[in-house]
Amino acid sequence: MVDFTEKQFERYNRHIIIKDFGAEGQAKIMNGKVLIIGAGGLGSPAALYLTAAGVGTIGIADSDTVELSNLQRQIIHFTDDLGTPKATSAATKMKALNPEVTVKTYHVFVKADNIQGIIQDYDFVIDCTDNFAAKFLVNDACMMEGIPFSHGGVLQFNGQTMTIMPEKSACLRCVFEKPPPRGAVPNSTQVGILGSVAGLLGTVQASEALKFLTGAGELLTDSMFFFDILTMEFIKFKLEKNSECGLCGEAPTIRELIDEKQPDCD
Amino acid sequence: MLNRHPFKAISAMSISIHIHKTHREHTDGAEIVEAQGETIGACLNDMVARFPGMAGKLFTASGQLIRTIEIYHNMKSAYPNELARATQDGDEIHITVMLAGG
Ligand SMILES: [Zn+2]
Repeated sequence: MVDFTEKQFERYNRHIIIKDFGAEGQAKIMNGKVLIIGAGGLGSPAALYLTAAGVGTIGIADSDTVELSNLQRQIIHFTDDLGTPKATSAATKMKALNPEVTVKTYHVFVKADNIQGIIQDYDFVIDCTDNFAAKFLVNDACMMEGIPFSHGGVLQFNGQTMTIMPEKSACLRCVFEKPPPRGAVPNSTQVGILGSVAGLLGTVQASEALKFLTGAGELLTDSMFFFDILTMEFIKFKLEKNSECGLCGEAPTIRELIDEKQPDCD
Repeated sequence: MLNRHPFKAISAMSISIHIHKTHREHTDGAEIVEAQGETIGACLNDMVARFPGMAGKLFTASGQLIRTIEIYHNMKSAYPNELARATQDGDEIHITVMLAGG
């Protein structure tokens, strides 16, 4: 049996009463540690839902400060937060939402020489960065440390996400060889993003973290979930581990982390 | 690299290529283009022959698939060696674009 305080029992009641999830599931959430890298369009909803769910420890890493152009989609930041470090701004809302959650902030640029030290304390990582250099760095670091994680990307009206269980399922490099050259792929600064699209994808990523912590359902492993909000097409493509993957294949060529010079999260 | 055997029975083949929204301006707005070919590469070339605007969206100057294009074949990732994969009548190809935003 799980011992909840009366207030916890009430706060998490709608989780606790879910059949086959219940008090056990909630207890697992409360013992969980999740790191969110990037407190932007994806990180905002992910952080809010995981905080509301009562995840025991949530880390939030971002080197940027809040800008006016962020507020159309980065819903954890408010107008009064302009100029505040995003990690600090996010932590303030998270503590106000649920004081039971331990929030750790990392107001740093996550890069090759510091990422392993940051991620190693966590059970699950959510990649909410907004450039391919960072997404591949998160992939490589989590694979090397053996930490499960959620990859996500959004642009305009589209989103895509996959969950990676190191050694068990396909990693980012199993399906994309390496980051495209800088400038080859437009980012949201150049072509825009509908705010709610980021909200939808970040929420899917938070759901994967909660499923991982509780063991509920089937994770989005060996799958790429893709959606187009304009046509309301939601597609789940199949992926598989690639024996030629430079990271997790039979003859890996990537043995250390590298920084590729690309712009940081906007 | 169009159909090398235009009079072979492959004229009965039809492969559906699902076009990404950002590319539909190059397919006269078509969401799905029917194509013929014995490999994914041949099918894409067949499409490009009718919609030349797609060439620059899919291929580098040297004819390789642009690295930011994702190809799914019958709902499954076709990576690696996407263009060489054999196709059959009724197959479905989805073209999507990698998403960098967060
Ligand atoms: Zn791999």
